[in-house]
Amino acid sequence: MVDISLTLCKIDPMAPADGRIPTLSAKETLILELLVDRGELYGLQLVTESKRRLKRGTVYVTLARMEDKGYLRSRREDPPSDAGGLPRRLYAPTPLGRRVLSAWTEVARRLTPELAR
Amino acid sequence: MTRPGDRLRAFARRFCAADTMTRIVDPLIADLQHDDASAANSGRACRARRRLAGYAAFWTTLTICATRASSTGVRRWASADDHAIGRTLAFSSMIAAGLVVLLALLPFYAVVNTNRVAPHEFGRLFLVLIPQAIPLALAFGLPLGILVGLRGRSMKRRVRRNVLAICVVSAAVAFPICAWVLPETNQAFREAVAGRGRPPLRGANELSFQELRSRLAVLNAAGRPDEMRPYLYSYHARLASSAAPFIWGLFALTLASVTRRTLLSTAIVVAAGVCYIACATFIINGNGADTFAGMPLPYLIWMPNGLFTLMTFALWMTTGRSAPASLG
Repeated sequence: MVDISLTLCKIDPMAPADGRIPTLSAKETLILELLVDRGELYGLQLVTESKRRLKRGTVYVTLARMEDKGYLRSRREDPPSDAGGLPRRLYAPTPLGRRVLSAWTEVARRLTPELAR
Repeated sequence: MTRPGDRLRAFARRFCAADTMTRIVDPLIADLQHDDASAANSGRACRARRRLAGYAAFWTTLTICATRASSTGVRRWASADDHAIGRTLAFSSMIAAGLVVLLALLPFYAVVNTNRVAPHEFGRLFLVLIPQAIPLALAFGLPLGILVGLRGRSMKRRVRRNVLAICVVSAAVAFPICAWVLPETNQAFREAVAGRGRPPLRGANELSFQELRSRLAVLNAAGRPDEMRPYLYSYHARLASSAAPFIWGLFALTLASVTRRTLLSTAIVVAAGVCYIACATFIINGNGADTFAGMPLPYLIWMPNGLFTLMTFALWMTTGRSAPASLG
């Protein structure tokens, strides 16, 4: 009984505000993997690092959606000193994003042999 | 100095919300400008290619944002006023879809029972029967959907305006089907039933409006008015059934504004529909004369629509409610 209550205490704060189970699409997984692996990246860098598995025309929409889900946070880089264009936006994974990725990877790792059989 | 992407950003700012600009468009443009600057020493061709890729990404992103914004807008539009419009659309679509299936199944089974069509042709046969059912299904489905959908909802001016817009769109959908789609699918159906060999000659219902008009002009010039009847009937019946969703929808909207008794108003529309079909059947299978009680055939065909328009106006006048002009 004590063990269950402790488990509940640990799980409760992790649940997202709307009560839904966090999900990850293939693109979101790839983005989180890259960001966890390489640290802060720009949108275009993500496209390049993914070896074109991410598309330049859709990556910014996906990044905004992941921010809404709470998987990423972003910040604008300092404005360029030479007034050479808009400041770029850097993306980094949040603790929730890291947890969801690790849970998702674990589930995928456990299910893959079942599916392959 | 204008940097690449500045004009695109100004263009996007006209249409996109501030949040979309900050979180989606600005990062894209910033990366585009940085990429362009870093490609300055890579040669003109390479720089142009990278710039083009950036522009293509911009338009793709803007399309996605526009699609998302419009779908959100449609959802909000449908759910406004206690889901009055959403319910109207849902009920009208369901009733119309059911009627389409029913009206397509009747001739389908009639042909299948004759064993003149091979089983592998059944799918195509059913498909080509769908367009002929759509105008009538819309004319019946829309008013019933309006009556059921608006049940218990307050008839605000915005609700009436939106329902009126749905009626206009339904008529706009029915018209090209009657004018161009129906003749082609009718002919395809006839060819499928006739089998291999020489395709059957096109009848009145297999001609477009333009072809019907020219055929009528030729017959009129040749002084053969007795042969004009099927062409005249097809021309006016198809035009009248294109207009029917709008006229019937308007009638149902007025009825829903006048009475809160859905069962009574639904019964009125169903009874009117039965009379409409009876009238059409009488014209098709009647005595074949060009006039009835001194009324020429076109007037006879348009009579149900005319009666519905009159009834709509009568309802407005008797209840003293707002006229169509004030719906907007």
